[in-house]
Amino acid sequence: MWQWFHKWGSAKWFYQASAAWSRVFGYFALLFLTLGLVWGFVFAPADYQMNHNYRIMYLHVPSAMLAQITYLLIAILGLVNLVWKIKITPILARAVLPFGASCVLLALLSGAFWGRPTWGTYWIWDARLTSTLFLFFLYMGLWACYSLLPASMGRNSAYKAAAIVAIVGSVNIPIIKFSVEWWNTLHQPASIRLTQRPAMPASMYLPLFASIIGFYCLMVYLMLKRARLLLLEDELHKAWVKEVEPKLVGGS
Amino acid sequence: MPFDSLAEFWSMGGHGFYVWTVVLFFALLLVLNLVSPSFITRRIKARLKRQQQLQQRR
Amino acid sequence: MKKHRKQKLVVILMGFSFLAAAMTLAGFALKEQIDLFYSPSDIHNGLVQHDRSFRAGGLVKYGTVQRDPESLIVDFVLTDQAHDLKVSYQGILPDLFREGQGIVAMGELNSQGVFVASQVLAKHDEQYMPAEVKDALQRSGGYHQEDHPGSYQYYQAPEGSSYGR
Repeated sequence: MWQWFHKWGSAKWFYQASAAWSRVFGYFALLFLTLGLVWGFVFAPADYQMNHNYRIMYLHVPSAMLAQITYLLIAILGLVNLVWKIKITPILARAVLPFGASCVLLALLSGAFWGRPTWGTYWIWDARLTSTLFLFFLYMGLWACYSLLPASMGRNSAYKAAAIVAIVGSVNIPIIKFSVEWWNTLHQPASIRLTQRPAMPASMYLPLFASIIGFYCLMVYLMLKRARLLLLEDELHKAWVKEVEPKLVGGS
Repeated sequence: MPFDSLAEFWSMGGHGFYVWTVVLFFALLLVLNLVSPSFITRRIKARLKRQQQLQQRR
Repeated sequence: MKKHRKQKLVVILMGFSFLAAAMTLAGFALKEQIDLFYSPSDIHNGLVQHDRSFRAGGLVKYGTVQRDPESLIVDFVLTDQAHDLKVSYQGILPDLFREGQGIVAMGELNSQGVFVASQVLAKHDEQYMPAEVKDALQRSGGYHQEDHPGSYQYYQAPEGSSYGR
């Protein structure tokens, strides 16, 4: 067990092992996203109230979900980095950030384009929408931590700052999740919960689950893909890089 | 099958504009996410090249 | 775990719990500001000042929607089953507006106690149902409109109501 944990300290081990994981998750993402979206947009039955318009759900729900999960992941990786100083954790956090930011953007935009025909407005300042917008700003804050703090200061200070922003900002996640229950909002409560049957039949929720799994796989795939490159960039002059990527660094 | 024809599929019961705009946003963000790792590769290569040139000048 | 790591972990977790507690208290204290709308009961209990515009939310009471045949004026009653609020609105209603639907309206109370709305938004509940299933249920009598009243699960449906069958 401890040996397994210690492996994560080795940049070379991670770089070599993650190539295969990334590929596997990439294929699963392709499979489940195609399945979920084609099923959802083409074959799932129309809703009795919203007609075909409800199909936006097959992108809105997974993106909103993954926007929050990704933020929590970044916060946990930040905590691990602050306490145990495992080199790969801040790189993973930085690598998954663009995916999380894209998800929250897609959640907001798809919500707006769902809200206009359903509620009658693109936007309203209710607790759910406002806290999700705040999540978007938190992602932008993390982005600023990574890109504004100069590499010459050493990446570690940027990583520490980002970890603190991520941990502090994660109080927003339960606020987003429970906003529809604590306060009255225009946004409806969740249709799928861990503890209850979904508030829709299988012909509607199965494609949704496929799409959600697809988004999860996409997150892991994109995170690993970026993390490998960021690790290479951070450690470009270490001996292991020359060993595993002789073609890239070979000339120097 | 909830659609009888391709035209019906595109119109999405009159909500085509909203549905397809969202799909377009998704496609754009997906492509951006898939392409952006290559920016890092380019950054690495540029850095290596710069260092190489510096070494040769010495 | 090494001692300095444990200390660090404890400090971070304690800081986080203080922050979470502060946010929870703020959430309770600001409940009225964060809530999007007032219910007819809130308005009846005088929680709203009469000279400013605000949002009112509730269910469109069954059988109260009156459309003016010559203009876009619609009158209806908004209810939370405890109290009612008369609403008057001129404009285009969202597709989902119907009797029994949850809605949120922006407007002002006039001197007669009627809520003059400038915007009406429809709330959608968390239930999704294929159109064919609903039709089949309706035919067999197993579909009850009052089981799907917006997302106001906590509002009781009127006793013996037979709307929507």
